[in-house]
Amino acid sequence: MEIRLTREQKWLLERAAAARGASVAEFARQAMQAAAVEAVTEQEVLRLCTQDREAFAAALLAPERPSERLRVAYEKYRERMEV
Amino acid sequence: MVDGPRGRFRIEVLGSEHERDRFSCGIPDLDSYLRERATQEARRHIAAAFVLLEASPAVLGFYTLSQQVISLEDIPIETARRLPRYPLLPATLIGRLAVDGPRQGEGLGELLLMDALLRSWEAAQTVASYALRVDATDERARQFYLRYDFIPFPNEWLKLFLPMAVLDRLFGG
Repeated sequence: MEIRLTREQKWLLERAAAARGASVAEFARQAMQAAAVEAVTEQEVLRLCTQDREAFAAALLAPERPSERLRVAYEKYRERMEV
Repeated sequence: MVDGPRGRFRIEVLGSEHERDRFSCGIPDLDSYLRERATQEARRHIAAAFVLLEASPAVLGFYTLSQQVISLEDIPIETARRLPRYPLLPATLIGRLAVDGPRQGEGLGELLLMDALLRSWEAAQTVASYALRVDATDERARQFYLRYDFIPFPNEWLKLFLPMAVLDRLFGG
């Protein structure tokens, strides 16, 4: 992987690496890894406010019966799909 | 709504044989996702894509599924104790769902959604998942999911869920 950097970005990166006592490559690797983990976690973990968490848990513990509409949709699905 | 002859649609895992160059659902992001990113994301196990077909290999619609974890930290302990898992509950996310423009209005979105529900429910028999999740893109999409028993979070206008237990009753008998 090759990344094009502006002179300013390169200068900042070198200073940051020096501050941590790491090589530029090592610093870049670690920073990228940390940013990637954060991005992936953000996408895959849903965090909710207290009221939403409790509403979700309550619905899970006392689920409704499927509505007539949902049952009809499933019947239509079975008719329209190739077996 | 046109139903047409019985048993004419099928849904397959997205493959190179499926034609999607002319797919246009009206939302450019979804079109370009299907054309340019869906295959790559499937290969990397980020999201699995499924396509709706009729007689030809032209894609009439598609949806994607991926895993999501719902964080339930700090809910009352009496509730937490009764949950199958705590504090992180696995769910199945319907990431994208779209129908080709010329075929909108035939109930194909419903077919795609029912397939997504059935497939997710079947997968949940092996790998636990306690709810379906979807983020609606707008009010119209939100109304669509509400019609099929999805429940909106009280404070997240466009985020909805459907407990897997509802599907146990629908598909499990």
